[in-house]
Amino acid sequence: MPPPTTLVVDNGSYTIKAGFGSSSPSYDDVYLIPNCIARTRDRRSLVGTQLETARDFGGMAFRRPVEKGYLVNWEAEKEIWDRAFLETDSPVHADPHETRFVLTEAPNAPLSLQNNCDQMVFEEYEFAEYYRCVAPSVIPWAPTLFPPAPHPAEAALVVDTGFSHTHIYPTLFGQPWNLGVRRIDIGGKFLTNYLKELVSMRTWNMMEEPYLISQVKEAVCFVSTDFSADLEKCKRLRTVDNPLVRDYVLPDYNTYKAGFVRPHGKRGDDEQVMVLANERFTVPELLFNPADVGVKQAGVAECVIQSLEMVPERYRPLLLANIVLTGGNAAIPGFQERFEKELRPMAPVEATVRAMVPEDPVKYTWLGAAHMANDESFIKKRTVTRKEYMEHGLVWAQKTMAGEDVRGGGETIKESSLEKERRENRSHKKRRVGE
Amino acid sequence: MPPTVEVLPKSTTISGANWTYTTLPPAHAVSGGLPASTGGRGARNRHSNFENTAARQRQINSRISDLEKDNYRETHIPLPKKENNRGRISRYEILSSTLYRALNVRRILLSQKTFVNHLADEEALHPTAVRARRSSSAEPGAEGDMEFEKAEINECAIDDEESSGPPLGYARAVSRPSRRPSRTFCEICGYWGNYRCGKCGARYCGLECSGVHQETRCQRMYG
Repeated sequence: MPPPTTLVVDNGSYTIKAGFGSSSPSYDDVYLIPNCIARTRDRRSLVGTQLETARDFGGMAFRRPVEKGYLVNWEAEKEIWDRAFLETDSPVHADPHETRFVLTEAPNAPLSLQNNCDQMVFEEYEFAEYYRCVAPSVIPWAPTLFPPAPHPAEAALVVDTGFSHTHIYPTLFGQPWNLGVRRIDIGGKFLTNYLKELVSMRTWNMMEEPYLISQVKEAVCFVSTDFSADLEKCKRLRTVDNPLVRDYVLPDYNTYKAGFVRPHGKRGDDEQVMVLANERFTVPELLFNPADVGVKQAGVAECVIQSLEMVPERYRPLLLANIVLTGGNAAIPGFQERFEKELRPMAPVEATVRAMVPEDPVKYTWLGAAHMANDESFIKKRTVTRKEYMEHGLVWAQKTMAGEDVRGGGETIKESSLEKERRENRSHKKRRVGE
Repeated sequence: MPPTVEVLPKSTTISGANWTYTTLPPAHAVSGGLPASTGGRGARNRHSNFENTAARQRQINSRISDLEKDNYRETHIPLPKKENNRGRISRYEILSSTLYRALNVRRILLSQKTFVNHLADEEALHPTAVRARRSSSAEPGAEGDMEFEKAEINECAIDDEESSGPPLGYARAVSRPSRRPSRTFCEICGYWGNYRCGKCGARYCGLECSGVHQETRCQRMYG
């Protein structure tokens, strides 16, 4: 019998997206918990949601348990999880013994980290059931792609661009196409740091203000659809005539006023203003041209093509027409337009290129995972109960979660109609090859 | 097509048949721009080919590692002290009592390993492409090199039962370098950087920014 509650956690490197599963999950069920321990100027440590109580973000330093997208430091993560999942006043508080725990991780995680994670979940937290899945692999279950929710979408090419890195993740029939998974080491953190560097060199010294700069980034940055024209504009036009220039009024932590953005113009008497021009679009430009700072990798659109080279040719048009852009960077204005504009000339002429940005790209993976948790036939095969873990051990549990049939033929689970269809498709193809 | 293997002259890189010591930032050390061997060719062309020198590469690499940092300075942030919670009795305290804690859990919690350490472990256990090819025990489509895979892809879907094999692993999943020509930007104003400082190699866009650079930013007194 499955446990009564399902706790779905998308453990991102910037925020944890956590919420309980239900028969019809929605964005409102998700709680965002900053996945960090912050230290303020006066040397207080703030864990997870406590960060929201801070009023002075000046000179704040961060310790993040998730390093380069992978959960590394359990000492810090335990502190954050304890407060989020075990404290009774938390909105996602759960009794682990009666909870099914669905957790996401980044693709291609080192085995030693997966071992650590599984051991912590079963031995320290003692969740009753557990499924660790790769974050973009749950996207096929997310709504709006294909309306019938319990079945995974036939094809989806997920571009997951998060805080630490960007992944291109093709999925076919709900299964990841592992040969085509590609990573670009550019993420939100990289962009923030780049903006910090540019701003510090040109206007105010912001090297110690990562929090403020990430706010500035979210407020002013956009992806340019015509990069060289915009750059030209910023050079040729005077600042006052340039429609691209924005003023960011810096927060004054004495009166607790938050910073905000406004068009360039006259400034008030006691305001400190940061003027931003080409920084607004040269920063997100790194996602499309990592080589601009010397990172020897391809941009997002080009990387999609690299990924598709590893996918059988007949599936390529299908994937190109079903691209999903998720993760925090997908919310940058203009990202989708630029992405389609760059991808179009590289894709085959006859193929449709269609990219979708969900309503809330940050919470979308969570939504996918919550819908996947409702797909009983699938989740039953993959989850491991605590009892099974104690009986069969770590390796067995990991094989089950990876989708290998180690439970033996004893309990054959009825294959879903989609899988059946897929098998028929395949035999059909075999026949055709035979001819 | 740009070269995927770069020959760096006189870098601090020492390499053998299939191992390398490198000063690259961790994310790139296992993959990316891994210098294959050292050679004297570039050293002769240093002045004409500044972008490819080891010195320039070091500059770029240190900048990339700066951009990947969480905090500007190295700081250790301790966990908040437990005294704050003493008033409350929660499951959290029961669970965190030492009695309850298994040996594995304690080991994981006390581990000071960073991601780079874990990656090195992974590399030792499952060597990636370059070495897998040599050991010749490569499984088709899973351990072989890229060209080999390409031929396999189309058959993969027909014969294979489940999917396209196990995950590639961190090092092999990295994107290949871009095919586009590289662009340079003025370090002062962000416009195209068509000119280069003769002393330090910094880029600038014109006379005005050159002046600013010479006065305030140029790090080298003698070129």
